[in-house]
Amino acid sequence: MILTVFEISVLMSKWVIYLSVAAVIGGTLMQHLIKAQPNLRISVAKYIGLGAAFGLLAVGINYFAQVGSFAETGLMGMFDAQMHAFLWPTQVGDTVFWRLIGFGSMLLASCRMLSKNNNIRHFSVAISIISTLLIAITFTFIGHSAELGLIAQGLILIHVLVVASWIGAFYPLWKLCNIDDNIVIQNVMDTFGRIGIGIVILVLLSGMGMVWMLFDSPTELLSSDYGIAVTIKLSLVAIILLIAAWHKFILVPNLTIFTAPLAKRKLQKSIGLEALVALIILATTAILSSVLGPISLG
Amino acid sequence: MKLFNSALVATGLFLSGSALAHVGLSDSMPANGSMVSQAPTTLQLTFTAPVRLVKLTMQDEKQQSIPLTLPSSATSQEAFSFSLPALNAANYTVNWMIMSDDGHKMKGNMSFMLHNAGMNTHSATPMSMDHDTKEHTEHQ
Repeated sequence: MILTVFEISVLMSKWVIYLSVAAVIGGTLMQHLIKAQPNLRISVAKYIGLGAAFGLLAVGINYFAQVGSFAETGLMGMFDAQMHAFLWPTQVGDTVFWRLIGFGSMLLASCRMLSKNNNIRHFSVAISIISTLLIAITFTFIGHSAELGLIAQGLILIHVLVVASWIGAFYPLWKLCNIDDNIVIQNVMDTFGRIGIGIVILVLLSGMGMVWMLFDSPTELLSSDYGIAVTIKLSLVAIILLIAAWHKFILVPNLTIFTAPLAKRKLQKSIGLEALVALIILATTAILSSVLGPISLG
Repeated sequence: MKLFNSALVATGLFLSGSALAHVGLSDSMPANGSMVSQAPTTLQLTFTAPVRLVKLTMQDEKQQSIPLTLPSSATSQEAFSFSLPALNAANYTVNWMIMSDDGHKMKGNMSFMLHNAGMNTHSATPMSMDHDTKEHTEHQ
């Protein structure tokens, strides 16, 4: 399979969109867990803002690459007025429109979410929560689940929200390890660990629900390209779950047992590894939902 | 927890459910690879799910285009019908590009041979029957 420039652009921009969604949703969740850490909250607000800015850029690139791909008239095909007129009224245009609204309002909210004015701060928090929901809902407009009906769309909505909450929390948690007080780190990690149990259960249930709906037979997991990609993704998910368990049961309790710098460094390094696996999982997902399909008609 | 996770992963691997296939051409009139003696007056394309038709071209073996009018993209539909002008005996190839309701782009082609159309009775070159190469080029 040889991918065109447009197809590669669609893939890469989709990967960045996934990362941006994780940053804004996971960052918003973490803002509530680190309320007592003003410096860290500033970093996380910047992280959310950066995620939203990259999200806006990636959504734009993704749309123009899709137009160019459909037009099939070279690079100028991205500006093909006829193809824009064709795609914009469809679910592709709806997705782009609502994602731009979602990331745009999230960008504005990130600038005001630490305001000293209570009203502005509360308003920004409300906007950020609405924006995260809006962005997550756009994943039900397109993709394989869109053809499977309401249950599949519900599953993808839950999947996006919980996966983004989890993966998007890695950077704030990694940054948290720079704090001097190990007790603070342990408290936040413990709270996140408790939420994490719910996240893991929902990730697995929604993910398995979609696997069940997308596959006709378990053999397809090894006999088709799409199935193999899903199997690779499931294997990576198993690895990241093991890393999460390693944090919860070994590295976080060690924060109060071993010397502070060593225990923190180990935890930070392990969160970095977890984030790396998450990057690969999202890349696999971008490929799954772009160039491969559940079952070929051929 | 690890045991619970492993059990869920294993469960997912062994469960089966309804199939989701890529949208493609399921039927056409004239049929793909067919040889017809009566010149068709309409071209009918039926897809496996509702789609929006992005591009459609029809050519004979001399690359002469047959004019076709595409429907608007306002709604997606499974079946499309196009009026055809009077056709001469020739091999015809229909190339289609669609966008399915999940936003994915698919394209492919189908062919048929008209070997005796009305006044035109000269023989056409035998056609290859291995068309309908659907290509899932991109998902959005």
